[in-house]
Amino acid sequence: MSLLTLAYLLLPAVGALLANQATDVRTARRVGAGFLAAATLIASTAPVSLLLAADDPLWALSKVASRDPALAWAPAFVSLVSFVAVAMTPAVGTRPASIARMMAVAAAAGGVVAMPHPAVVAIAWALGAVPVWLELRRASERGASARMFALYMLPSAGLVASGCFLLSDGGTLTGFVVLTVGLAIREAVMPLHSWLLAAVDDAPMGLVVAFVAPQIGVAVHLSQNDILPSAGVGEAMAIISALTAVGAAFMGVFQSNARRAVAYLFISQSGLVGVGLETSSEVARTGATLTWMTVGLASAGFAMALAALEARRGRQSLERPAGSLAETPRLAAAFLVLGLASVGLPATVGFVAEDLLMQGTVGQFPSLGLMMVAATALNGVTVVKAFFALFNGTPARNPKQDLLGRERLVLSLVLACLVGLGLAPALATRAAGPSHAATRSE
Amino acid sequence: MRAFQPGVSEAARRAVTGDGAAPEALAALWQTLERALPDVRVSDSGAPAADGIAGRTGYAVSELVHPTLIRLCASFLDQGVAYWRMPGKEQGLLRAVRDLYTRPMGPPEPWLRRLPARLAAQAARTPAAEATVVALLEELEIPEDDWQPFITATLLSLRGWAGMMHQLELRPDRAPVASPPTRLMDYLAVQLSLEAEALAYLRRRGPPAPAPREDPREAQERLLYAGFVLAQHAGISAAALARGDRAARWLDALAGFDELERRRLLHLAFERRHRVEVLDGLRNHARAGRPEAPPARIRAVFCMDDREESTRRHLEEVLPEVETFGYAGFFGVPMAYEGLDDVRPTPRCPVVIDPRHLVVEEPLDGPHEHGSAVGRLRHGVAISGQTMVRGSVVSGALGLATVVPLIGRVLFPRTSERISHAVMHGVGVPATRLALERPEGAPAAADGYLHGFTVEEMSGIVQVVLQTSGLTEARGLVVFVGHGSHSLNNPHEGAYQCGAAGGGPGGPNARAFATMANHPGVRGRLAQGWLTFPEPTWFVGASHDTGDDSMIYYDEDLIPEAVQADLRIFKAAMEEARRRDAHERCRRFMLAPLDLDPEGALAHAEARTADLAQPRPELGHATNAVCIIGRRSRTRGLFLDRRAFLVSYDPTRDPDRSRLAALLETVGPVGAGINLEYYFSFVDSTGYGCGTKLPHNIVGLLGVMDGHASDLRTGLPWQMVEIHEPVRLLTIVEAEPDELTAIVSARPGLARLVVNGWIQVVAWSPSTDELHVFDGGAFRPHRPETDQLPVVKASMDVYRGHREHLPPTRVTDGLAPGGGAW
Amino acid sequence: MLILAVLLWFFDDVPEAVIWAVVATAFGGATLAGLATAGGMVVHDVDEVRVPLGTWFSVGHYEFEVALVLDRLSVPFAVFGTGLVGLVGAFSQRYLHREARFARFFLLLSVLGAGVVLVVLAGSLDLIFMGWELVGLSSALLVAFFDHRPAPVRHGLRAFITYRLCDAGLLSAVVWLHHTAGTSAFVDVSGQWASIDVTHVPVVTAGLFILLATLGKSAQVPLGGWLPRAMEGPTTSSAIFYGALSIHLGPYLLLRSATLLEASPWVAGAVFTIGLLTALHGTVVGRVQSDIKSALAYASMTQVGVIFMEIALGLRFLALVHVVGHASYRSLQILRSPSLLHDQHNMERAVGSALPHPGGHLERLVPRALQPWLYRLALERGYLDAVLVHFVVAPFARLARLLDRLERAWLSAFAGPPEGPRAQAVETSQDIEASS
Repeated sequence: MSLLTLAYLLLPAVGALLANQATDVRTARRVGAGFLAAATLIASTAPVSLLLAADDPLWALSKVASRDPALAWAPAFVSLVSFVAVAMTPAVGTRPASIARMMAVAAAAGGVVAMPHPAVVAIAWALGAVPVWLELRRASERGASARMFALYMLPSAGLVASGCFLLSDGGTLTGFVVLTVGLAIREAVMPLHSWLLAAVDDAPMGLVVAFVAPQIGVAVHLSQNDILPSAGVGEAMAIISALTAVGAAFMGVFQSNARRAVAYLFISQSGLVGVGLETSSEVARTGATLTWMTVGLASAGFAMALAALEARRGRQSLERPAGSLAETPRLAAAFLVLGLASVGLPATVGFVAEDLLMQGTVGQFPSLGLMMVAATALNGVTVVKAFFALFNGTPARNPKQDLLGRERLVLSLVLACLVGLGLAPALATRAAGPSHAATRSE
Repeated sequence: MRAFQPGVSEAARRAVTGDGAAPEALAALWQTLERALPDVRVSDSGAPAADGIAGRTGYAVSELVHPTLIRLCASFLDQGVAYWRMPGKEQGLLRAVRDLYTRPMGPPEPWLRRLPARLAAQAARTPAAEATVVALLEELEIPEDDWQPFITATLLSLRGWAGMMHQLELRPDRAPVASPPTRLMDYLAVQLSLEAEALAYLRRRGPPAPAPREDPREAQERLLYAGFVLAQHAGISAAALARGDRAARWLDALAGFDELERRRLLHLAFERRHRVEVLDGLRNHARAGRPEAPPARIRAVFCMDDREESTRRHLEEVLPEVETFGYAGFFGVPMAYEGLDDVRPTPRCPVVIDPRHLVVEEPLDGPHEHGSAVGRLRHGVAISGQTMVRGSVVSGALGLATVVPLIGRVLFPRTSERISHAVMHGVGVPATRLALERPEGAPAAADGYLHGFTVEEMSGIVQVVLQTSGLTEARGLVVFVGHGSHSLNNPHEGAYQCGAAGGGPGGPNARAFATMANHPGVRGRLAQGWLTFPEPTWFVGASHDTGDDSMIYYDEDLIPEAVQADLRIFKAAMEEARRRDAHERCRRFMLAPLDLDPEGALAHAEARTADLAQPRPELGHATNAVCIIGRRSRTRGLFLDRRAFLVSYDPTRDPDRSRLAALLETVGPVGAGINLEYYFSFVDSTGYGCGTKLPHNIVGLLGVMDGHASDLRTGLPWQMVEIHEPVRLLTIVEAEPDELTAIVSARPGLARLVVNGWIQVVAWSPSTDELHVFDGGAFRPHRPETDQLPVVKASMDVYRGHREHLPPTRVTDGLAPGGGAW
Repeated sequence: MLILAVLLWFFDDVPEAVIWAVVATAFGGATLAGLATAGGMVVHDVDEVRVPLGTWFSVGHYEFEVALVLDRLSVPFAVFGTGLVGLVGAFSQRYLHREARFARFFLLLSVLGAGVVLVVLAGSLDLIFMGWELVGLSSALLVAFFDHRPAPVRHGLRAFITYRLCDAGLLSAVVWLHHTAGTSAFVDVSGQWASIDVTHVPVVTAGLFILLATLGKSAQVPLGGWLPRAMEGPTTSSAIFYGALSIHLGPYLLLRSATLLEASPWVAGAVFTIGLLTALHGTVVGRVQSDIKSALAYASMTQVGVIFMEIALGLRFLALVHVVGHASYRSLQILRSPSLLHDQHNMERAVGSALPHPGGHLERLVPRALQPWLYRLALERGYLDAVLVHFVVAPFARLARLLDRLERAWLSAFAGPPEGPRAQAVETSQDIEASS
């Protein structure tokens, strides 16, 4: 294990400890965001080191990353998403401990993506769920969501651990299936998704985002991609994913609770990624990895924009328009663009990702391709419906503040990533696609 | 919480902190107040007001009912937009709706499913609208004592449409084309039937959604924060508040000083600032005196309209020998008027008067053919544009040709208006006369109007106008200038016309008056009294367009040689005055650069009225604030910034104040009406005004809706009132306070206006400079705050480079005396 | 457009003049460039120019090619489109002067312009899809332009949902064509599909997908209910979207894929039927509308229906002329609509009498007994919206609500016993939320 990897792993953990010591949220947040920013910068060296010398063990992930270069980006991506979650967390109604827990989740997620060793994955996977459970136990009504969370996450951790154990002995179909089911629970694949709805209801948005948006299951899945399952299993999983995508999209459209709508959006998007991962075409896989990162980043920003709005106006319902575009124009614009970027707005990298994903899938599974089209269409409706409900309507009695400097900076960064890569998508496709690795290995 | 609010003075900071440090002192202040925090009653003003059934039951019936009801009202009242008229509308709304909606295969909306049965039952059991309404009220379980407020609230839920039904029931003659038999009771029966249906449907579906309420904690926090901030500014420390129940009283006082009270105080302060500025200006201008001068050579009578204030001022500056007067712009002629090309007469007198006399414009040379083949063809094409087969031909074949007007209208509005005008009216306007004289004793014609006026009636009109305005010494040239305005892209064109002429151009009234006053019979009759005019005296009618500042003079061919020279002088002066007037107006238009010259300003004003894209063709009465009833000699040479209605009245010739009383009774309501229309449209643009013009949608040729379908929006659009200062009309009357009190208290209409505070009244002593303001039931002397009055040479020196409202200023060019008479 | 967006993101008050300068430069320049191209093509007697801008991104065998097609179809459209955006921009610069949302309007107008140019010049269906999305988004946001009133927002959402569902048709067509034909590029002037395997089923499927895509944008039966409701924005945006550009994108797409219609009489038949139904629907319903903007909206719908029929019959040149003619005629009409009272008055003077009542034509055709029934049908918009809302959408909504209740019941199954005051507080706050 190299020094850099160690630094990457330790930074969020140390940050978590420090944040836990802080007396007020703002300090905790400053500490957390700083440590995560540093971790992101360090992690950006992973793809660089990979580019310079594939065998240099500067990063522990170089072996798997040479099979799938997207994995080299994964640590940077994970800590960037966690950074967005922490930095955008509003101070109002948050305790320093919550920030610390977000950092802990980030540290665990970093462990999974940066050290793809089966034992590390198994342990980090299990540890990552603990902070969320702690938070839920405190916040949930009569313990319902905490219990439900535990009931879902314990089997998930068990399955992932046994899957890792089975797979470390060499690829077996059982091991693969066990691992995948374990991952699927945490990816909230329908019908194993209920815990996520309960969690968004009760936990701070930043914690949910840090836990869900990086979708580290995808990284684990990718790191195992040399173990090819039988076609039948792959197809079954693609079908389940596609059904998840459409079903969640459908539920999202009719949601009247803003947080749950966001949760269904997450679920639907991870379903889309799932379809792509199970498709053998490299276009689809590239699309899937690109969608993974795009959606992770965009919906993290989107969800945190909602959190920022809630800090100003309280929990939001989508029943009728009750916001004001005039008061918070930038927040509204960021919310809309981020939401649409996650469902494929042209001129953002979301469009590229979605295009690749669909084009790649349709060759192998024509009907699933069409289901995915339907899911994206519905997700778009959810985003715009939420936008209209949250930002249109009569101005409130007390004018609310538009984006603060900190929020504006973070969202500008996210938007710049999404739009920049959208305008020059070749950068993104080259990084995410296996073609790069293929040329290198020749 | 740890630092002072920005802007807290040094002394206040010291008082709050005492000897300690700021953070601790502030924290103590916060805690002291927090401990004393009372329970706060949550006001529900945040939630939208629900009327009628919705308000009583909590069910959102309006969301279901309004779209259908609006559609029915619009189709019923339509004056010619729809190609296909509502069948059965001649039987009234209720019967038409019953007829339409009891047929089988009705609308599939679940909530309307039982409507046919309901309507059929109504038709059988309670055919009359009144009986239907009573039955519905009983069905809805409204207690009988409550009927009155319930019905009011119900009607107010679509106040525009209900109001239009009411208006057309009262005055069907004012419908743009023809009113169907309209009854408010029919409308109420239809509305209640639909609401009862919707309510029954929603009840079947489940309980109503609870109304959103503000969290009381939020209201408490707001109060606490306000108390905290205010204490800092006032320099009140925690220790000072801790004694006794002071903190609680502090917060109580603050809670009592609610939004309404705060706005009332701010409004009074706002009005006071304006009032003092104007009254000081008047007083100091009068005190500065004016030079002696020979009698005027030309007299010009304008409308009292605030927009003519600048025209008159510039005319006086250009031509010092002119004396100007102000009179309500229908010039006392209560007529309905039908111009040469008009297809029906329109009233040209204040709305309160129902005209009985019709005046028709007739061509001099033989009968005039109404309309043209070209016109009928254009109409045919316009209709076809909305049909299927003919529409395809029109849009396919002629569509490409419309690219030219499209580009022209958008990029070169002024030029294309000229071209289109030339194409449309290329043949030139034929010479005409007004058919004004009616033989003594002739009866009303078949159309219900008396055609023209008898000589006696004319003499009466002329005498009243001349005496009231103080024009009894008229000699030489007297010009009566009516005014109107035309503009494109403007559903509110009527609001820019002359209010005194009933929302039409007042030019024909000026022309009619001049014709009357020149009539030998009238002159003879007047001479029998004491009113004689030395020869040559000639009255000329004219019309001023306040939109593009153009002038039209009527019946010039009749003008005797002796006054021709004067008319030429007048026209030349007016030519310059209208350029300057346009220039002064342009300073208010943000799109007109401030460095325009008068010539450019006139072009700008012309382009504006012809521009389809211009939502502010002119600004109308948008700055009105003052009304001065008195001698022009006291205000001549005073720059009043187009904000004053100027009514000529000479107290020295009205010993018993009877003319003043009559004048107040007409001018008061007209001025207050205009002023309050602007006032309310400004202070509540959504409620009393009609919001922004941009999405307006003309419906039925009757009014506008917001976008696709909404209540009929009455009131003025935001674009017309945005620069308005909402002050109640400051009415300054040349009379002693006690005389004014006597006049007002003897007339209930005036008393309501004055005592209830719809206008501000000031008595301006005719003999001294004293001004008395009516306040709280009595006149109190105005105490001037300054003796200074800025002095400049010409009006342009005052306003050049400014866009904002300007205070009264003395303009020496305008001072050059015109009237030696008074 | 991007420049404008960036400006607005970073600065608080961008002066109207600056915004207008950016927009005017962009669209003025584009129009001139279009005219120059057209001139060049006429002079050199070129029918078609293909401008490959290279591969935007590629993975393995899949390449997203960006290629523009300039031909007799796209160049007139492009010149007309950019010119019209420029004109409406010039108009709006005065019309929206001092409007608080001035900047937003121009931002959305430029998004529309960019979308239209992309659709019109696109060399492949992929690019068309990009433009198509941009037009739909800007249109929905402009309908909801007056965001403080509930009706515009509701209608904006309705327009967006219709668009989005129909966009799914276009995206399906893209994906489907890639699947069956390997490309979605238009190859020759008439839009011949490259190497398409003209077996019957794929062609019909692709054609129907494309038809679905056009139903929403062009407000055809049965999805046209949003069009009259979309007249909520400023008059100028209504003119350019629903009189001129947006609504004619459907015919444009059909013209572009005309060979597909030729290849399959089934698709052509479907287009014809939709067009006919729409024209009849529009003309009957439009006749009873008593407000000017609804009347014009239905008139537009009728004409677009007729254009659909022309395209289905293969009268492509006629359709093109009809589109351009109708677009300029209708947008001028909508821009003039606030002058209706003025125009009506002038018209009366020109005709010389009260305007004759025009409904007689219909009254002669329809039997007297049926008239009130037909009138009511027209007044209630042919029942189309009601059927869609209450018999298509509502069951889905009920299903979603049922699933939602099950979801919450499942969660509450995990709830432990009541814990005390803290839990109580949480509970009440949740009650408030659940019920609101």
